[in-house]
Amino acid sequence: MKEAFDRMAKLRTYVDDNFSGRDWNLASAMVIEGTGGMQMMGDWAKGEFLKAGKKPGEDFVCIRFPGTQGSVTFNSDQFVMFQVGEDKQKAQQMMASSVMNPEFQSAFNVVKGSVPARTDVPNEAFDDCGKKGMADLAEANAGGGLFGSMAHGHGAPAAVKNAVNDVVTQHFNGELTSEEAVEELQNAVAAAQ
Amino acid sequence: MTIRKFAALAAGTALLSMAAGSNAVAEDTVEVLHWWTSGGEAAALNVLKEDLESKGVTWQDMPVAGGGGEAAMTALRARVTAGNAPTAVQMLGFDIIDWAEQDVVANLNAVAEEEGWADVVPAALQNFSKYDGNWIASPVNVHSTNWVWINKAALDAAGGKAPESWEELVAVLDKMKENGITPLAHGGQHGRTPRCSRPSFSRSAMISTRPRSTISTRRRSAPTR
Repeated sequence: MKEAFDRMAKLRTYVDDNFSGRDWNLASAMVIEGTGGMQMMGDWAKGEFLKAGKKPGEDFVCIRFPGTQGSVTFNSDQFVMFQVGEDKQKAQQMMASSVMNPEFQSAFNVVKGSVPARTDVPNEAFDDCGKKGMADLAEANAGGGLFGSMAHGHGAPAAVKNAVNDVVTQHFNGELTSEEAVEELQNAVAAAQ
Repeated sequence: MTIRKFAALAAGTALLSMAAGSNAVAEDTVEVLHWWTSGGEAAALNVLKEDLESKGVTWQDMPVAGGGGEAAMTALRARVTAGNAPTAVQMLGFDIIDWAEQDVVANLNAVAEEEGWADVVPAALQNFSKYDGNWIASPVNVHSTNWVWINKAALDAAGGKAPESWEELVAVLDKMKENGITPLAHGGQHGRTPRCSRPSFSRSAMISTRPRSTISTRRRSAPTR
């Protein structure tokens, strides 16, 4: 755990002085323009590169965070079906089925920058980063390396997520040493549960 | 049960199914609460809308933009409290579990079993699509967060090899610094910093100790107690 915080402190030394309050897409713009070298961000960042006319493999490279190939941290949009009157239940079941249609899952995710929730959807329509995302998901799923993203409410309930966020942010801002952060994290998570 | 009560119940059920039958003939409608309102997202969702309309299902759109879904959850709360929930609601993560615990979600087991969802949806996603063993949601997508996006020219100037380990990453970052650019483009909004650290963080905090699985097991077992 301490090593994780030590590594984050190291990464902090590669960030410019103006990062505070910057939107993630402006950080993407730095990489697009070449004033920044790289950005650690979810797959929605790809949309910024594509909008700027950049091509995967030619103008930018997508990789898993070094050392995490085989693992995928995810968040998943879902359509939750609610209890409705009997007159609406047939249409509800039809919609549930349509969402799971492989053609919809392909068409939707090509546009959205994410990958299908089904692992059996053909990858022809996706760009190289999308194809890699689909292969990585299948690999992580098969190897037990698929984990809910803490930052998006998939890793833990909100109280725990917020407790972790606070400690990690304080450490990143230099208010806590790695040793202190490890202890604070344990205390904060225990208090939140 | 007395005969009179049974007769009343049977009559009521007959009325109910007659009413349902006539409505179903009149119109099949879904009301969908979501926050996919930007150009590309709206276009993507339109694929679903058109598919349903080709099958005779009317799509009643209920877009609630803003706040990454927080505004949508507030709107949903009002509708559920009024006893008039929409058909389907876009939702993420533990929010799904929170609503499932309130016994207001539908059961999709019949269609899920018929179409074999369990075989094609990763188990980690099923943790959110199912509650208490029953399918309650259709998963649309998987976004993943442990990506690094690198400027190709900057990488070429820093040796050209995409880093595969922590040590290689540090070497590339050092080289980029020497080359006079900001090695790591970062935004400092609250809640974004943990994502930056997650890959190493998650390896020790989540991948080995897995707080999520213990938490969700505890939460899941609650309703059956």
